[in-house]
Amino acid sequence: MVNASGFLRVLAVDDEPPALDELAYHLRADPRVARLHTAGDATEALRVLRDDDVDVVFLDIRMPGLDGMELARVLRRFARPPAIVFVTAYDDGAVDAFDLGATDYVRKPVRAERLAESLRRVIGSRVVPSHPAALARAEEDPTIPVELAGTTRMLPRSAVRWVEAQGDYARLHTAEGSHLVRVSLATLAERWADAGFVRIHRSYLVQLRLIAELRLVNSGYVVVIDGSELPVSRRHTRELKDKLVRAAKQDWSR
Amino acid sequence: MSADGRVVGALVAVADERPAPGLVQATLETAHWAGDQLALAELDSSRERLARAEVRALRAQISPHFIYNALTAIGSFVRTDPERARELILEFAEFTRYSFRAHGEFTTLAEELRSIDRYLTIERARFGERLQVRLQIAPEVLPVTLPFLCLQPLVENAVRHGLSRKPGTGMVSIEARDAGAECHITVEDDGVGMDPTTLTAGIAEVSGAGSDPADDPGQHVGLSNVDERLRSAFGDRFGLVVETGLGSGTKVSMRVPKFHPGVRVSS
Repeated sequence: MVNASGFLRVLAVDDEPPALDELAYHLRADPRVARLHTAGDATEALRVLRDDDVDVVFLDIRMPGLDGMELARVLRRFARPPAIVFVTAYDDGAVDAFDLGATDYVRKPVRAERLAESLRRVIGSRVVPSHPAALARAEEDPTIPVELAGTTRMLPRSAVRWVEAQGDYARLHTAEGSHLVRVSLATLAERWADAGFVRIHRSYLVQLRLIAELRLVNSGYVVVIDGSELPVSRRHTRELKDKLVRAAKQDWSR
Repeated sequence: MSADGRVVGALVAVADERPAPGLVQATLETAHWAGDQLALAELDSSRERLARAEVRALRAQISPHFIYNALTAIGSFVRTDPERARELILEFAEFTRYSFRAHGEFTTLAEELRSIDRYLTIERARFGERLQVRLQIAPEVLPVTLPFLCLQPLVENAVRHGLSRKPGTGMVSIEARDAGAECHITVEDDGVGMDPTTLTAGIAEVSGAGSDPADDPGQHVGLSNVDERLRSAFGDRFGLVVETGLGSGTKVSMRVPKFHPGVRVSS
C-alpha cells in the first residue's frame, strides 16, 4: 500500500499471522510510512529486499528457518543496510540485538505509541539511504520541497532566514534567494517554534538567532535580518523582546 | 547412632556383668543398622519433597514466550475477529487455571488432554495453518491416572520442535492406545529432530538448557522432569522412550499402568 504523504519504506517480518497483521495495521496507520511490505519468514523477507528498497525492517526474533537475529546479521552486510527494529515477546535478546546495531527493540504485544517512537528513532538515528538529500538529519533539520523552474529541490530548514506570508503561500527567504511554498504562515510558525522561528508580525516569521538589530523607528519596532528591515507588530513586540533577552542570557551563561 | 554424619540418637545396652565382646559387637551393629535406616527414611522423604517441588516448579513454568505471544495474537483478533478473541481469552484462562492448579500430584488422561486441547487452540490461533494436529485417543483409556502435567510438556516440546526451527507446516500427532494392563501414549512431531548423541548420556541431557540455542531454558520444560516423575510414580520400567534423529522428527512414548497401588487422583 502507498501513503502519499509518507516517506519511509517499511518491511514487517513475523511468522505468526495475527502478530504480523497487528504490526502491519499499526505501521500502516502511521503517516510517516509510505509503503509497507510484510513477510512470514526470512526467505520471504529476503525476496522483498531483493526486489525493493526498504528503509527499516521490523523483525520478529523467533522464526522458523533463519531466525530474526540471523537475518539481521545478513542485512548488516548489505551495501545500504536498512535500519532494524526487533519486535519480540520476551526480552531474552536485547543485548544481542543492540550488538547487531539494531535501532530499537520493541516488546509484544506492541503498542501503537511504542511503534511510533520506534519510527521516530529510526528517522532520527540514520540517513535513510534512498533519499539522502531529502532525509539528511531528518529530525534536526527537516527539508521542504520547493519548486524552482520546474524542478523540485529539497531545501533544508536551516537555510531559511525568514518567512513572509503571501496569501495562502509562504515565501521562504534564504541567503541566495526565496522560494514560494504552499503553506500558511501560522502552520509554519507552529511547526518551527522549536527550531527558533518566532512570529514578529501577521506576515513575518523570523529565525531568532539571525536577528542583527531590533530598532525603534517612528511608529514602532523593526528587526534587521540580512540587511532587510522587517516590521514588528505591536502585539508581538513584548514576546519578541522576551525571547531575545532569554536567548542572549543563554548565550552568556554558556 | 549417626545418619549422614550427624548424631541422631544413642543406643544403650544394659548388662549385669561385664559385657561380653559379642554383646558389644551386636550393639554396635544394631546402632549402625538403625542409623542407616534413619538415613534411608530421610532420603525417601527428601525425594518425595523434591518430586513435589518439581511439580510446583512445572506449574510455575508456563513460558513467558507463550504468554506474550498468545496475548499478541488475542490482541490482534480483538480488532479483526472479536468473537474469536473472546473464545481465546476463555481458553487461555482455563489453560492457566489447570497449570496453576494447587492440589494433586495426579490427574486423569482426560483432564490432561482437555488442557492440551486448550493449549493447541491457542497455538493454532498463533500459527494458523502452519500447525497441524492429529489426535487419536482410545476412549477406554481416558480415565487412566497419570502424574499431573506429564503429557503437556511433551506436546509443548513437539510444537516447538515441529514448528519453530522449520519453515512450512508442522504436524504434531498425539496418540493414546489401550494395551492390556497399560495405556501407551505417544507424542510425535515431524520437525527438525535432535541429535541422538545428545541422548546417549540419558534423557536428562536432552532437556539440558544447551540442547538448542534457540530454546530458552525457561520455556524448555524438559523431558527429564517428566521421565523422573513417571519413574517415581510407576517404577523404573516406566520411563520415557525418545526416538529421534537430526532432520527426522521426534517421537516420545510413555507407558502408563492402568492400575497402580498408591496412584490415584485426589479430589
